[in-house]
Amino acid sequence: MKKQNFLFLFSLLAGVLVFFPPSLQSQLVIGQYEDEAPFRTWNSFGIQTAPVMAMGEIQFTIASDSSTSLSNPALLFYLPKVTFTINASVSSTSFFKYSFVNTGVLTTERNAMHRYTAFDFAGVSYRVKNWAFALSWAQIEDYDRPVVQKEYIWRGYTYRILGLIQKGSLKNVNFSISRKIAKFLSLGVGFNFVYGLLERDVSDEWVMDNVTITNNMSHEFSGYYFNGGMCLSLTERLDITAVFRTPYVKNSKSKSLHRYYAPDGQTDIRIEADSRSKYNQPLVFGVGAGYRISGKLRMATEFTFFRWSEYSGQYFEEPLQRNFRDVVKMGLGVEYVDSFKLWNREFEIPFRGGFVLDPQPMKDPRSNYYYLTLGTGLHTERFLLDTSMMIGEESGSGYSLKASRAALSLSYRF
Amino acid sequence: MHVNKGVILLLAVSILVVHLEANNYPDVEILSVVKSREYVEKLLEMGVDFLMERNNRVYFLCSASSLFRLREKDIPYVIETPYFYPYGQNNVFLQGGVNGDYHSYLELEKDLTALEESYPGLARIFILGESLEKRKIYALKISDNVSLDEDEAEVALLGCHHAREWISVEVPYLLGKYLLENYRTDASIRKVVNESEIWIVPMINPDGLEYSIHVFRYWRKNRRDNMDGSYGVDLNRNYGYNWGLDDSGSSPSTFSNVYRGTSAFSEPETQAVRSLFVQKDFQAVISYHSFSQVILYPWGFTEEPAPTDAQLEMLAAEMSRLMEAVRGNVYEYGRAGESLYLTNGDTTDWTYGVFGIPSFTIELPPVDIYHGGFFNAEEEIGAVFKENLPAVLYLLDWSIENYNPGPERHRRQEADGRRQETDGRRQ
Repeated sequence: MKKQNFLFLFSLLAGVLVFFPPSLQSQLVIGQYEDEAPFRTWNSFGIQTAPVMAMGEIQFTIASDSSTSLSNPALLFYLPKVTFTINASVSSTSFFKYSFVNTGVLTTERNAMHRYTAFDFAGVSYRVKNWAFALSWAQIEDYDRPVVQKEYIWRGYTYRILGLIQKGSLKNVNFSISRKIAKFLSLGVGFNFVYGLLERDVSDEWVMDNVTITNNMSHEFSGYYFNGGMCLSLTERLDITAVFRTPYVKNSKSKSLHRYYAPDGQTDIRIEADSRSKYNQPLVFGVGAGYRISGKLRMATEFTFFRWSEYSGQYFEEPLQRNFRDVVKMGLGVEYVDSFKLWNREFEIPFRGGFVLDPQPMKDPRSNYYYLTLGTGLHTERFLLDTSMMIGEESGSGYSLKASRAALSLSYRF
Repeated sequence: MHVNKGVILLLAVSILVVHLEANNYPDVEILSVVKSREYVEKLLEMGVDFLMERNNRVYFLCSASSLFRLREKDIPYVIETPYFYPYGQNNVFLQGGVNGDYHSYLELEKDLTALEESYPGLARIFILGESLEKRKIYALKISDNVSLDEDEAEVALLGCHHAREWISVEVPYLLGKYLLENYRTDASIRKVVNESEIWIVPMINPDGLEYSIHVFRYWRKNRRDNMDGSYGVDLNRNYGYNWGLDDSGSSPSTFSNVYRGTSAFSEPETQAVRSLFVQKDFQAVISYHSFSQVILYPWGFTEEPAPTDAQLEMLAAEMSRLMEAVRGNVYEYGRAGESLYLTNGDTTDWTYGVFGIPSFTIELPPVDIYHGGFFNAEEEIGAVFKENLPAVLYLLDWSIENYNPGPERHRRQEADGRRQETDGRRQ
C-alpha cells in the first residue's frame, strides 16, 4: 500500500475515533437497576486499552501493552524490555431502568443516556532475563448513572423537584510477575488490590410545603484478588492461553441516611445506618488462541467464563437477592500491520477489527450484547499511539439496547 | 464527649432490670405517669423509687402488689417494664440496616420465626400467600393452644398495605411481641390470649416495602408491572366490596397512586388477606396505616353512615380516649368517607360490608406532613406502639365479651355464602 494511502486511512480513522466518539442511545437491561451494576456490562475482567478493545477485546492472548497484567501476566514476557502505557476512554451508555427511573416513580419517554470520560489505565512493565514484572493502576468499573432533575410544575409554579445523582468507580492496583519456564511456555501471576466509592443521593423536595425528603447512600469498597495465566506456544504461529481470576469479596463500608426535613414543623427526622456490605465477585476463567497468519496478519479468539451463579453478597448486612446465571463472553479479533517510511523513519500502522459477544448474567430476561470493534494506531520504534472504538447492540430485553466506547492509548517502550 | 442523658438513664434502668431479674423480684414493675405536680406528690407519699423523666412522663419502680394503691389514688399509669430490656440482650430496637430500627422483609421473617420458636404453645406462623416477587406474606397467630382452631373470638390486625408506611409494620408486630412476652406475668394479657385468637399480618406489601427501603422512600403501591411503563396497584383499593365504584375513591389509571388494579383481588397480596378472612370468623379488624392520627370506620365509599354506625363510633371513641390517655396524642375518629376522602375497594369496607364486623383503619402519627408525613423517628416506634396498645387491648376485650359464635356449621355456611357474595360483587 502506498504511503499516502496509509496516511489518509490512518488520519480518517483516528479522526473519527478521537473527535467523534460514539454516543448511541441505549440502556442497561431490565433488572439491572441495582446500585452495584457496573456501567455498560457486568462482565468486568481487567481493563481494555485501545489496542485491546480494537481487536474484539482480545486481552489475554496477545500482548499489546502492560494492561495484560490484569488478565494474563504470563504475556508480560512478550513485551519489550520496558514499557509505559496510559489509556483514556469515553464510554457511552443509555439506561432504561435504574434506581427509581422507569421502575415506577419516574417514567421516561426515551432512554436516558450517560457518558463518562476516564483516565483509566497507567502501567509499567519490565523484563529481565526470564522474568518480567508489571505495576499498574486501572479503573475497572464505573457506577455512574444519568442524573435526574425533574421539576413538577402546576400553573407556572414548581411544586416538586425530584433528583438523583449516582457516581462511583472501582479502581485496581496490580502487581504482576511472569516467568518463562521453557522456550514454549510462560506463566504469570498477579496480586490485585481494589478500592473505590459509590455514592447515591436521592432528593424529593416539596417546594410549597417546604418539605425535603432525602436519601444519601455511600459504599466505600475494598478487596483483593489474584489473577494468573499461562501462554503455551504450540508452534511458531499458534499460541494457546489460559487465565483465571480468583473469586473475591468486594467489601464495603456502607452508610445510609434517610432524612425528612420540614422546618415549618421543626421536624428533622434522620434514619441512619452505618453498616457493612459485601459482594462476592465470581471466579473468572478464560482460554484463548492466537494464530499468526503472516508477518503482518494475525488473529485471535478468547472465551471467558464468569461464574455469576455464585454471585452473592450482603447489602447492609442483609442477603443480596440476585438471580444470575453463568455466562461465557466470546471475543474474536484480527490485526493487520503495515509499515512505511517517512523522513527516514520507520512507521507502523495497525488496522484492527473484532467482534464481541457479551452475555449478561440476569436470568430473566436473557440478554446479550453484540459488539463490533475497530481501531488503528501509529507506531514508531519507541512510541505507540492507538485508538479504537466499539459499538454494541443488545438483544433479549426487547429494547434494542446499545452501548459504545472509544479509547486512546499511548505507550513508550524500549 | 457529649452523651445523651436519656441513653445513660436507659442503660441504668436496663442494668437495674437485670439486677431485679437476677435477684428474683418478679413483682417489681417499671411504671410511668404523666408528669404533674399532683401525681408526683402522691407518688412521693407512696415512697416509690423514681427513675427518670422522659417525654413529659415520670418513670418509677413500683411493686406489683402496690398497683392497687395507684388505682386507689386515681393515678392513671402505664406499665413500662416490657420496654426496658435487660442490658446486653437483643431488643426490638436493634434492627439495623438501611431502614434503621424498622423491619425489612427479612428482618420481620427472622423476628416472627424467633417469636414462634420462643413461644411454641402460643405463637404460630402461617403463610397466607406470596407477593408478586415471591416474598411470603406471613400471619402470626397468637392464642393458647395455638395449633387448634378453638371456638374463640378471632381478631385481625393488618399492617403495611402501603409500602412507605413503615410504622404500620411495627405496631401490629410489637403488639404480638407484647402479648407473648407478657403472657406469663400479666393476668389481663393471659386472659386476652386465652380467650381469643389474634391474627397479625404485619406486612401485606413486602415487595413495595423493599422498594421503599432500597430505591424510593415514598413508594406506596405493590410492585405490579402494569406493562405500560407504570408499576403498582394500590392494595387498599383492590378489595372486593364496591371495588371500582367510581373514579374518585380509586383510579383506573395505572400511573395513579390509588390505581385499583384490573379487577377486585387481582393482586396476590390482597388474595392472601382474603384467604385468611374466608377461613376465619373474625369479630373485628384493625388495618394500620399512616399518617394523620385518625381512627376511621366504614363506610369509605360514601359519606352515608354504616348500618351499625353507632356501635362503630362508640368503639372508635373509646379507642381514641384510651390512646389520648397514654401521652396526650389525640386521634380524631369518624367515618372514613367523611373524615379524609372517599375510597372504594379498601380493606375495611370489604371486611365490614362482607363480614359485618367492626372494622377500623387507624392512621398512625404524625398528624401532618410538617411533623414527618410518612416518616416517624426511630425513637417514636415504641411510643406509637404504646399509645395504640390500650386501644387494641380494648377491642380484643370487646371482641371476647361480644363473641357469639352460634353453631359452627351455621357459621361456616354463612361464611361460604358471604364468600360467594364477595366474589360476585362488582368484579
